[in-house]
Order: sequence, then C-alpha cells, then structure tokens
Amino acid sequence: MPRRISLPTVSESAPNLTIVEAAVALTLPIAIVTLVESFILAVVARWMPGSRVALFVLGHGHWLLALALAVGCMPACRRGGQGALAIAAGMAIALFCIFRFRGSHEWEGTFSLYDRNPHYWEFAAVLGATMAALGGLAMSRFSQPKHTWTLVAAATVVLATLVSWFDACTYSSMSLFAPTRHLAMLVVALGVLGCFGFEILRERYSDEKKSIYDH
Amino acid sequence: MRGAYIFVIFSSLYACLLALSIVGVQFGQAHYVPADPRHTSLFGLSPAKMGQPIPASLTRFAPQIVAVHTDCLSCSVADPMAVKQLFSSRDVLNVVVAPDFRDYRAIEKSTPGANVIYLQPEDIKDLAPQFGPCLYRFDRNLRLIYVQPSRVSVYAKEDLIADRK
Repeated sequence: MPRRISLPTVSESAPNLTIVEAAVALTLPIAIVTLVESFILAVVARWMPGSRVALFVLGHGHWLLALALAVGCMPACRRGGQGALAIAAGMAIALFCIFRFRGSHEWEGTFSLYDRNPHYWEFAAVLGATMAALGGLAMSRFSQPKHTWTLVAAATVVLATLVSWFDACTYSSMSLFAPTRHLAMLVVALGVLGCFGFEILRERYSDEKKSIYDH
Repeated sequence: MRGAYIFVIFSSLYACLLALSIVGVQFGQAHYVPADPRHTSLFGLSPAKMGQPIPASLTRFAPQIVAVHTDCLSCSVADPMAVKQLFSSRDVLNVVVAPDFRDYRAIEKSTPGANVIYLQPEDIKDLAPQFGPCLYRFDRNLRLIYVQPSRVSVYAKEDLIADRK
C-alpha cells in the first residue's frame, strides 16, 4: 500500500501571531496609505509642482498605492493565515480612516472630492492587500519572515505618524475639511507602542516567575 | 485561542478610532481655517458687466479669449490638467494672478508656445474673477461679451473656440 504523504498546510506550518505581530499587521496598511499620501503631496506640492511627474503621480497614484501595499504587507502575510487575516482587518481599519480622517492627499470620492468616482482608489487598495495576501501565503509554505520584520513594521507606523503630523503642521490646504489623519495615526502608533510595552513587561514578568520556580 | 489577539486589538483599535472620529474630527473642524488660494484683493468684487471694456493691462495684447488663473495649484483643488490644456491653446491669452506663480511657470516651461502673462490682481480687478481658471471673451472692439459662469473650464473653452469658428 502506498504511503500517504501529508503536505503541511499554511495553518500547520505557521505558528500563532504574537501580540506585537498582530498589532503591527493591523496597523501596517493605514501606515503605508499615509506614507503614500504624504509622498504624493510632496511630489505634487513641494518637490515638482506642476511638472509632468506631478501630473503622472496625481493620475496614477492609486497604482503606486497598490504596489506599496502589496510589497509592504507581504511579510505579515508570510506569517500564514493569521497574518493574512490581520492584514485584511488592517485594510478595514485603513478604509475606515481614509473615509473618516482627511489625510495629506484627498482621495477621489471623499471630502472635497466627494462627487468623483472613488471606486478605482478602493479597488487599488484592496488589490494591493490581496496581492500581498496571495503572495505572502504562497511564500509562507517555504519560509517565514525574519523576526526583525515586526521592528521594521513598527518603525514604519511611527514614521507614518511623524510624517502625517509634519504635513498637518506645515501644509495649509484649501480643503474645507480639517486634516485629522494625524490624530488617527497618533492613536494607531500609541496602540502599537502599547503592545510592544505590554509584550516586554509580560516577558519580564514570566522571566521573574521562572527564576522564582528555579530557586 | 488562535487569532484572539487579532480580534481583541482590532476591536479596541476600531472603538478608539470611532470615538476619535466622533469627537476629534468635530474638534479639529471647529479650529480649522482653510487656506484661500486667491489674493484677498479679489474678494467681494462686483461681477463683470457685459459690454465693459477690456482692462488696460490687456489692451496691447488685443485678445479675444482670456483665461484668468487665480488659484495657486499646490494649495487648491484647481486641476493642473485644465491649466495645461489652456496653456497649450494658442488662441487663449492666459493671465496668471495666483499668489504663487511657481507651479504655473513649471507648466509654461513644459508647454512650448504657451501664451501666458503674469500680472498683479489689481491689474484685472475689472474682470472680478470668482474662481480660476475663469474664461472671458471679448469682441473685436475689445468689449466683454462672455464670462464663464462656473468652474467647467475645459468645456467652456472648447465651446468658446467652436463658437468663434
């Protein structure tokens, strides 16, 4: 009788996400969206206003967003099904923030541009996250991301928060809607840093407990 | 439990952001003053009247179609593509009175043969532009016969040119 070979599935090969990994994966999409928005603002209004590059970035910014999300979220999805689930939930948070908190760049279909068609921006964002999930899940069968990915992702979240505050403080827009994304990013960054602190405290507490039992 | 962290963090993050969107957005909106892309000297002017003569600063150009650009491109919702299209149209005299000329100069450089002049808002006060770009048409005696009624610049310009032909 031939021997049955069971291939390892995604969920078997990938261990559970830690609290820090979950927090980082949930906040990474909105951090990437905020960074892309700041980049578009910088190109259009600060570095090359009125140039062909600025017009190109304005017209094709949604594809840039899709690419950034696909590349940026892939390490989280390489942690397996839970990573992909966290990125999907993070995309839900990102879409909530895009429609509720005005960032550096106004999206089609939101705020002052409410009368324009928003679907291709949403489509690009969801497409980017889907590509990250598919690519990450496929790669998760062969390798796991390095442990430092959580640090890099947390640094991205903090950087996006700082950039959003810089934009909100230095750039005055004609839009009738107040920029509030920086406030949302502050909440997000505090959440990530809080999870980091919680994890450090928990490890220290468990080490102390272990040393007491050893004695 | 698998995935418990994700659910807990997602729920708490969503609750915090929802509360912020209810309270923080209202607070931010109450203390927010939007930048106005126009010169303050263009505020509150009475609209241009049909039949009035062309402003003295434009007489020497004897234009039939004039596009007045009042908004700075980097701080307004003005569409750079519409500006580019107007700049590339040889039969339109583009008058830029925006607070910041740099964006327009960049577009002018990338548009060979652009018909553009840069003036102060006081020079075109008679035209009283309410938005930018705003199109005007003058007859052969350089008297005003058309003012663009709303922000539909590209279509209005095409209508004007078609009408003239």
